[in-house]
Amino acid sequence: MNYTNSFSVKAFFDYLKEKRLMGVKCLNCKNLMIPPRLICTVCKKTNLEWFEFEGAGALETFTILHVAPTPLKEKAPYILGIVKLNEGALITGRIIGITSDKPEKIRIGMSVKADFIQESDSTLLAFKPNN
Amino acid sequence: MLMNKVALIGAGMTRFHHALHKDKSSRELFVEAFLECLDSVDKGISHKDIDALFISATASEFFEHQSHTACLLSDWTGLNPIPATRIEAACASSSAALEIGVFAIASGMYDIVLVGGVEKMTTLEVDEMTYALMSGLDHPYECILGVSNPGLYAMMANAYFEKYDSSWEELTSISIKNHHNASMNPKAHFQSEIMDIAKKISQKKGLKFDNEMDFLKSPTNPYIAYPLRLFDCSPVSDGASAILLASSKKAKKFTDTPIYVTGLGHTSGTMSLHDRRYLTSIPASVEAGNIAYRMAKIESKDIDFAMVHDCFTPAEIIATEDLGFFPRGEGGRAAIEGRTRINGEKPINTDGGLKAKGHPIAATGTAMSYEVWKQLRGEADKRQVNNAEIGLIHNVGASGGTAIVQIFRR
Repeated sequence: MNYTNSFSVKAFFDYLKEKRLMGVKCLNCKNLMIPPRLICTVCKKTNLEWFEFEGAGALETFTILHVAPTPLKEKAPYILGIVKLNEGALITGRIIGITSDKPEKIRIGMSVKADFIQESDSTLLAFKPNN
Repeated sequence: MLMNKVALIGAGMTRFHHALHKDKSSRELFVEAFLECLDSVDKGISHKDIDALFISATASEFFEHQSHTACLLSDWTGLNPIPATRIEAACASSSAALEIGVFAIASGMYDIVLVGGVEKMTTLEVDEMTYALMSGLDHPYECILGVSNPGLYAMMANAYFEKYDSSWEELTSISIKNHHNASMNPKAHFQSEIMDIAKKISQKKGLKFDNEMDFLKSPTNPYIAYPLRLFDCSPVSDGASAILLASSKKAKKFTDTPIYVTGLGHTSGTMSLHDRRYLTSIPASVEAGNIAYRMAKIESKDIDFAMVHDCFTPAEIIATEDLGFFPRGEGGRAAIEGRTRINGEKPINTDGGLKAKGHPIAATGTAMSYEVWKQLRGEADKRQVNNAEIGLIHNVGASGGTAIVQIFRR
């Protein structure tokens, strides 16, 4: 049995650089997971393959971060959210395209789509309103 | 099941504070808690009686550039050469240490074990402290995006408001109650009611606040992570706590009033918040509670009072639902109605909670059991719960990657 495979943190971010939102699909129970994992969260099997998520979904919840950690001190306030992707899985991302001074404009359930932002040296997952 | 019964025979803690301990480091803080713990043993105890140390310091590498804390604290307490081990589970570290201490005694290996935790947090600026504590979250999938601990609980709060049609106003009942309880606790960080703090600030800044809500809604109470404001968050505190555990056989030699550990529940949940199906409950808390209740052979209704993990105000509401004290969506309403006050049907966070007593991360778990110890022995003075027989602690690591529930009995 082969114990190594490519479903790594690095691979997820390498795909983000290519503007692709990649997770894995369990070939045994069809469970979809994002970010990618090495062992299926449902059936615990390791028979997985890469799965590309479309990037569209609905905002499940959000916050506006006012007191930020050192590396993002100059960025605050910024918006963060958890998005339920149309394929079913949830993922955290930065929320862009909405101003942070109007929290009442941010609606749970609103339709969003993935975007990819460049911040210092890395590409980050973001979502913007889908309209 | 434990092979042998284990009891608490002593408890000590420093006051939790942001300025009082300015000139102390972890070792001085822990020794202070340790000395009070030794003194609290009714019939006295000496160093040579203690067989092992399980200690927590969650992020001392960031705060003090110090690891190998177990050895350091064993050395400074004068307990060398006993075995000393550091236990880390983010904010739930020292309740995990207490659990391991119980196992070590129940196994028959040791008779007396010291457990506890210490965190010296004020060495860092707020942004650095925020970043240090984010090491307890999923680094690539949460931290890099800028998700902080308050950010995670803020997202749970917004999901909760949406699901149960409630609002931020409900959260203020938690901070107001916990400040009230802390005003009667000499170990608490804040020993004043929110209105007293508001009055002090208004005098200093020439402002006027008609009532608590007026103050809490003002820019004087700024947003940390919307919808959470400063007074929805536990403060940054330095502090330490320590508990002495003994086998039930040995316990009577040291005290006529041992406090027994009757229920232990400890579960792990997903590291990332987004990997939970629902964001309005912490599944690990529900499971840890059920395991602890089962072991203690009781139900949630039998708990006389509880210390729950209110690192942020929504966390207390969610905890009182996860532990089965109130139905889903009704935890906030219960707090508003006064049902969780010291004289209510289910007193919650009689010591002021993390919110007002303070939250020096690794000191929190055993500081919760310190309050349970005081309550069950009838030594909680003005905050004493009437007829306290069974107490519970609920300690959560980060957003719920760890949940620990422990039940204690007189």
